[in-house]
Amino acid sequence: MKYKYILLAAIALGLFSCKPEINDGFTPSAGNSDFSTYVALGNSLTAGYADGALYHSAQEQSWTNLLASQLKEVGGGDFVQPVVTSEQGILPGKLKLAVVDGNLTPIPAEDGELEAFYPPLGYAVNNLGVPGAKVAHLLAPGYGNMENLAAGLANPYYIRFATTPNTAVIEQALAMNPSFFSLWIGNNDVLGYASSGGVGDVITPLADFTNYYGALAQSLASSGAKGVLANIPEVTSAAYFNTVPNNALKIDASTAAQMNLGLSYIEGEINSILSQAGLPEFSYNIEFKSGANLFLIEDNNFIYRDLLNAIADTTTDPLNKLLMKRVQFRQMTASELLTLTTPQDSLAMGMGSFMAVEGVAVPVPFGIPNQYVLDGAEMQLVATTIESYNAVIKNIADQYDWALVDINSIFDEVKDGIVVDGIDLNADFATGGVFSLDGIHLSPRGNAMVTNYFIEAINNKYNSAISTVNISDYNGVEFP
Amino acid sequence: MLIGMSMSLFAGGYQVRLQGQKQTGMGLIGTSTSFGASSIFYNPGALSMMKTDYSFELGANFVNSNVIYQSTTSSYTAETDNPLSTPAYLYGAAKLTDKLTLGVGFYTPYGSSSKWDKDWAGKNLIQEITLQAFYIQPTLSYKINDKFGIGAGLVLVQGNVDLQKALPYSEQSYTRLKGSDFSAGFNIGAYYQATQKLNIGIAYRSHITMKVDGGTAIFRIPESLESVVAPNNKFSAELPLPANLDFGISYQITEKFMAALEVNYVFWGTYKELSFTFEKNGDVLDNTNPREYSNSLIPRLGLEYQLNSMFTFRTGGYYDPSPTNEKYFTPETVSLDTWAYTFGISIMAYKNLGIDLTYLGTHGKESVKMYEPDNFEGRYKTTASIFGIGINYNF
Repeated sequence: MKYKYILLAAIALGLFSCKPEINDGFTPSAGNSDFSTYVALGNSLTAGYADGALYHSAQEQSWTNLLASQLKEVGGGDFVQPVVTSEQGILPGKLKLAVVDGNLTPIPAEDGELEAFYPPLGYAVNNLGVPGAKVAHLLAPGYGNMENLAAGLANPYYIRFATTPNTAVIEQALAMNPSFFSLWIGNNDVLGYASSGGVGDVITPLADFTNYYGALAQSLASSGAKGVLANIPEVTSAAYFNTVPNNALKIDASTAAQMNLGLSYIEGEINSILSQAGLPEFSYNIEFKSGANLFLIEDNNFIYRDLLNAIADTTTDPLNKLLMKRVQFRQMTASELLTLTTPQDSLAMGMGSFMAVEGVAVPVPFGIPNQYVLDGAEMQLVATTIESYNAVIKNIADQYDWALVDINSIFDEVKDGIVVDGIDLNADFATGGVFSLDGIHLSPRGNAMVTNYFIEAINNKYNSAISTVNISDYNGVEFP
Repeated sequence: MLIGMSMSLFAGGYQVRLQGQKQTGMGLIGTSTSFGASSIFYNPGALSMMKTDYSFELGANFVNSNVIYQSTTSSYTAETDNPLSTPAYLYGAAKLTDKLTLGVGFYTPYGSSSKWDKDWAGKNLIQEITLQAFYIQPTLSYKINDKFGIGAGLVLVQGNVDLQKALPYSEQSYTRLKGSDFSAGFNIGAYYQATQKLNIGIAYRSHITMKVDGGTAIFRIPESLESVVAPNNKFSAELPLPANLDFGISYQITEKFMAALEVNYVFWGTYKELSFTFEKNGDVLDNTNPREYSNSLIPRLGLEYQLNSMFTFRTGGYYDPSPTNEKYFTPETVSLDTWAYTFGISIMAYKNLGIDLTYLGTHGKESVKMYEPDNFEGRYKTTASIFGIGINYNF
């Protein structure tokens, strides 16, 4: 009988498997904040725009939606999004990655029908992110009014979820009685200018930005809600400005010699004009070398711009007309940037370099058009603007004692590359994992990363313990 | 950063000494004891001291090990779902002459595997790893006089490794590496009966480097990236199995009651890094992963009480400090500072046939650990319960 008991005892011991339990682990807590009604204000980044469109799965993986689901653990309520059901989006523009001529290239995506933005959804939403919105837009009555669309005073994304046509975004936000808000706005006040190479938009003057931002903050403060602000990243930390290299003019020695020959021919032409006008001799001071050369760009400040334009305007020879324009170029400096939208096929055909033109014996220079170039002066302007915007945002955060996510510093760090949970994250296009295919908006993984920085800032300010998300649960861009 | 190897979960690094149930029962102490053929592993010097002409031992362990992980910045937790592993051993020894004993041991000290959920937070570090090592050790032991024995064995190792980790290119992307190696080392020991009551043992197991050459590497990645990383590749890697220096004493307090102390000094310091080189795309794939282990000292205590000619009870415990480095703790090798306790019962069941039953429980101390190169931090805790059974036949 003894054996039996001993055996039983031994087996009981053996099968007794004590699973470990964490004793001193993470305990979620709301700290001294109330996350029951979270309202998100902002632009496309807040809306969940990605790959050039606002579409279903991107919207679901917006950092705002991720943050809202983490808030549920600490008393957060429902977070209603203006749900996009289409994978193609609301407005055209969605990109996907495909192999074109052996290279990974973004091409238009075909993921079904676009979804109409009118009539409006008819329900109140917590995510009030409006793609394209500037600071002033959040205060503007009628920004969601279909009748204002033609005049450019309304935004289709807001028309879609405005509760009444003339309710301003901020009013609609306050009507939700938020206990907590996020406000990440101001990117478009400078980005539109920057992303179009200083051509397509104007920068919001600092005084206006300060007034509008202050008015938004005051409204939000009056609601009694606590919140988190985020500042504006340097445009240079986005893949949009860092993907097309400015020195990809790779030529061999004989091409370089030919181009130098073309250059002196052009210089000769210009100098013959100048000598007639009694002006001193001109030189581009460019020498093409075998290897990588910086691209040529249009020069709007070309020294003899007025003279050459005048000739171009009066000449009847179309070739001469073309030449007078084309010779107004310069070489990029090492720090100047090209946008992601720079047409690659045109570059391949000679844009940014010299190009054969019918009827001209030598190749003719072809500077990259201005809208694809963020030149030194523009960069300087964008940088100082962002710096002063961020000072405004910092002041407001201090004034109201709100949390502030220093996206500017974070993206600066990400640009050089960080590692999270064994995943490399950097600003490289497609492979960097952070940016979606439009080079400005975030991939799901980029959104997850940003969510964690928001959580960190909120936890620090409000003494809360909101769980971060696992970066490894989210993908970068989709590779074919 | 790409891959790594993990070892047993229930002992610091790779050292598992479940190579004899009597030793297991008393805190895995075996250097200063002479329990028969299993001395082939614990101390070849003690083999010649066996009291019979022939000794055979056969046993197996049923290992149930668990690791829990919690993020330090969230309530996220993950647990390993390790399959039950069953390391086993078989020894046979025979006295060729009064002084010379020949033995052969076969044991599988690394028969464990660890399996995380495929989608767990650390999936880009490790998803799953299996390591098997089959040891064969022919051994000669020589009794210089009635009190002093020495012995030496040749250790032949067949090692297999199979691991998988996620790659961050898509939800389904992963890499899987499989390789094997045959390598050799040695095991020497000396055993001294200082007095009627006091036994002293010392043993040394040599360093063995496992070299995987031409192992199979599979990369499941989106097709468009296959021009950068070939889907089928070969890899090479090296893993040190560190040397051990063991020293133990046992003391017969009364006729029935014996106590033993032992220290194992493990030369973990040789484990500096884990490097992988690949046949194709080496410029992208080759990687070196710092480990920077430190040598460790494991103190053990064991007790034995012989109730009667039929029953003997044993118990013991040890402290196994983690050899890992503060900056380089990976979830492939969750080796924490570990306390362990053991129990064992030996039953002389029938004539010369004995049965041994053991239980070993280990508790890895809850600790926050970080693998800096991957910026992966978490709070870990481990447990293992191991049930062992063995039979021995001595005549």
